[in-house]
Amino acid sequence: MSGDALDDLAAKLFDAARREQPPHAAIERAVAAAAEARRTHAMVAMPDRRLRKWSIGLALAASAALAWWRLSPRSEPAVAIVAEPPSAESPKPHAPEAEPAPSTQQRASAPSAAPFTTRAPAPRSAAPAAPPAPATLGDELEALKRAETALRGGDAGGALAALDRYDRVLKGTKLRAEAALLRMDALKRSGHAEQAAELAQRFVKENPGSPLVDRARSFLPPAAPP
Amino acid sequence: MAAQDPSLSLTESHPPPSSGAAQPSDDDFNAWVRAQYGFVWRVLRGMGLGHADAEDAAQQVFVVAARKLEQIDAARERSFLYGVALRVAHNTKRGLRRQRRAPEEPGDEPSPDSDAPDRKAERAQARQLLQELLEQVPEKLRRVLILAEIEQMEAPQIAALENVPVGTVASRLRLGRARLRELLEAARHRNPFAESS
Repeated sequence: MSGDALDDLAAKLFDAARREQPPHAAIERAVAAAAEARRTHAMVAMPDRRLRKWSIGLALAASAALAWWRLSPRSEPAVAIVAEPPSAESPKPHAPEAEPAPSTQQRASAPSAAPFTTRAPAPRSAAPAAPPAPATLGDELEALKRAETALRGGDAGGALAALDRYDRVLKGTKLRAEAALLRMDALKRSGHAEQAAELAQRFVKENPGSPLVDRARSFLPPAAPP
Repeated sequence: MAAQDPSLSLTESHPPPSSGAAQPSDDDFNAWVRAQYGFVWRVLRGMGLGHADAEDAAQQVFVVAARKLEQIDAARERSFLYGVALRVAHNTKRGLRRQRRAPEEPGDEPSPDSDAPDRKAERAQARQLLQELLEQVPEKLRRVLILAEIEQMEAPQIAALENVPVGTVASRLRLGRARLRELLEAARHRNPFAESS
């Protein structure tokens, strides 16, 4: 390369450095270590890729549910969600406080809103004493993300705990299918493949038209028919 | 300026492992590691690591490369290795400072060659002297010196690795050589070739 050339001594020093060859044994050790890392990574990355697919599916499902929730008219079952008492944490775009009467009526007439009708629309002043609000889509999404993160980190037990919270505490309904799939994976990874298969079988039977049915089938033993 | 070592060529016979859509075979991957090892090793040595530390560091570089295989752009594999090598070199040196470990003594010639023993000793001293001098050159200039003088790369290749304009490479090279010249003047009494020349 052009530039202010170095003198003879500098050239000799660089020549000596250039001639230095790494030991053959060191090269082979690096080859072996890199090959091992490659194998290990391939094993770890495979479930990761599956989880990435799930993440995308989960995000799509959540977006669709959110869009449906926002666009659906009040008289649809979605009213169960919009009729939640206002929460300081997450204000609802369709909070019923502006028009309380029709909202109450809708709740009473909507069959799927039954679990929520026992909760009176809480006035703002009574908010601290109000019973816990039903899970919002954001709550459900957060719980499933927690499960997914635990699963990705190899903590199947943590994932199952997050899914239990989704089922028992949040009583999640909007992302139930995604939760079921995550539970199958968590069960399988925690060494309970049979339970995962049972769950998968039930899922396939109850949701034959679900877009997630193929993924559920992947948890069934090869010989067992869906 | 063509490099003699096949691993120095940016367009070499060994395809980068991520060049195709399919994963490379184990043999292809291993051949790629062997082909690139010399480059990584010399960068690590140029950054001031002793033989054993360079060996450990080079291994780390290729372990990282193996894990990130899918993310390495085929056209930038050398650049990727260079970047990882620099980071690993920094970490290793930081670790050595923390352990207050003395740098390795020169003379543990890593590979046998056909030279006479006195010649080998001469070269080992030369490498040691060069390392000491390079340590005193600011790192940005040192890196360009290593790539230009040891790896014999052209300015555009260095610019690609360093992610700087070619003009910056030329400027850094000029400054690096000037600094090295000053240092050499002060260390001329240690000329390992004084007796043979």
